[in-house]
Amino acid sequence: MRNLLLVILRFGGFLLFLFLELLSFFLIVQFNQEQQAIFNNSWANFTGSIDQGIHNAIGYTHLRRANDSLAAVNARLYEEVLSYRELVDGLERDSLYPSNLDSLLIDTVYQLIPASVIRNSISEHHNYLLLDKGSADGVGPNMGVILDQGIVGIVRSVGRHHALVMSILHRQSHPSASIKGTNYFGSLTWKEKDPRILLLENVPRHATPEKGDTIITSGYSLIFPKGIPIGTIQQVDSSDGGSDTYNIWVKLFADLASLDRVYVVKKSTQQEQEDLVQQARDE
Amino acid sequence: MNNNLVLTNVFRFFGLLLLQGLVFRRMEFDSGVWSYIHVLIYPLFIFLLPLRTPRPLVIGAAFAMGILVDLFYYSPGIHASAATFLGFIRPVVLGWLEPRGGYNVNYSPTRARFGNNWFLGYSAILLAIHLFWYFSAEAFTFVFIGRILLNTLLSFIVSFFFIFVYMKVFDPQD
Repeated sequence: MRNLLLVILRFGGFLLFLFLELLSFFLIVQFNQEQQAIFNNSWANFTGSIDQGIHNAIGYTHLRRANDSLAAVNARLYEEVLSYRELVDGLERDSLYPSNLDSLLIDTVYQLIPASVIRNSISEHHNYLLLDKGSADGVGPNMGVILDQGIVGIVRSVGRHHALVMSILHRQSHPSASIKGTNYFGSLTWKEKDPRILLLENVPRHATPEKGDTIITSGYSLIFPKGIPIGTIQQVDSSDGGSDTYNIWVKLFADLASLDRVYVVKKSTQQEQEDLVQQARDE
Repeated sequence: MNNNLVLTNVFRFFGLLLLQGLVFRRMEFDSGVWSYIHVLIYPLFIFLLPLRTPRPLVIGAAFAMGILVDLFYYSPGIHASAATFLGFIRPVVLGWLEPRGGYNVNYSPTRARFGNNWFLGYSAILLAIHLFWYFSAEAFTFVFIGRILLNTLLSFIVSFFFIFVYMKVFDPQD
């Protein structure tokens, strides 16, 4: 006790200084937006590089599985390319071939940026992922993150070599999805129970969802391309107190608990579309 | 410390606080070279605390001054951080500048007690340290070190001028 008192007397000034500086630092980070952003960014970079290191160290264990799935994706894509090529070929021979088809095709170009997930959570209310690609690789805020079978989330903020993605397993995530073969759509939300089951809300009554139907992205949001398969209908709740919408439980194709390779969707016209929407809002 | 001395410093505390918060805060402009300049005069309170003030009291008073200035600037913690460091480093600087015979601990480090040259050197070192810490805390990253140094230099010139004027006008003994 005596010794402790002596220490406090001896180093009292320094301890007080340290304490008050920490207090100031806390105040700065807590109440000044700019400084808070810098702090968060640095913190994300720091933890990101640690996660990256761990990922690098144990990443090779997944190589085999990653290879297999990449090969499968390649094959499917090649098939799709072939079918489109045939389609375009047929159109060219058609006398009604529209002269502006080329510009139409170019308008819908998506660029996919492959990325690895280096941090992932599925257990909290607000789940985020961290990717190993950032602004240096062309990733920007509000871009969608997808798999070949399913959607993962939306990029919230980017550093130079990392991107923070709001998972679809997040309270505030409401991507738009529709029932394959129809134009009826609703918003997909997570009910915080099972990371494989999401709820498709606000589907109008006159739609006829059946168990086993496929749910795809609607393309109405500016973020995800149209037609990515998300999951299948597991159950349709219609007895919801006389409301005029269905609630549909969707079982995801993708297992969000074990993500490795994902694609960030960069849409060439995304900025333009966002500008238009913004303009419309401003008016 | 006699009561007079305490009273003097309490008055100086609030005087400089109000001067800083109500007058010099308004001397900030968004354009040209003035955008780099923050005139900070409140550190003078910390410069002038009596030599025998206990160290924790110097640091505590400096923090209090900083956090109150922050209230005027809507920047919680930034001035407080710089002022706290100033309070902490003051004895070190006093150590560098110690006259051959040592200090008379009953004095305050003023121009009247230790002479013009001594005071100019003393306040210049402390002001530079304070401004550098302040602008670093404001930028919160050393990525813009060039801008921080430019801020420090330009603000130093103007702030130092006003501190000099203050000492000329009031020329306090203690």
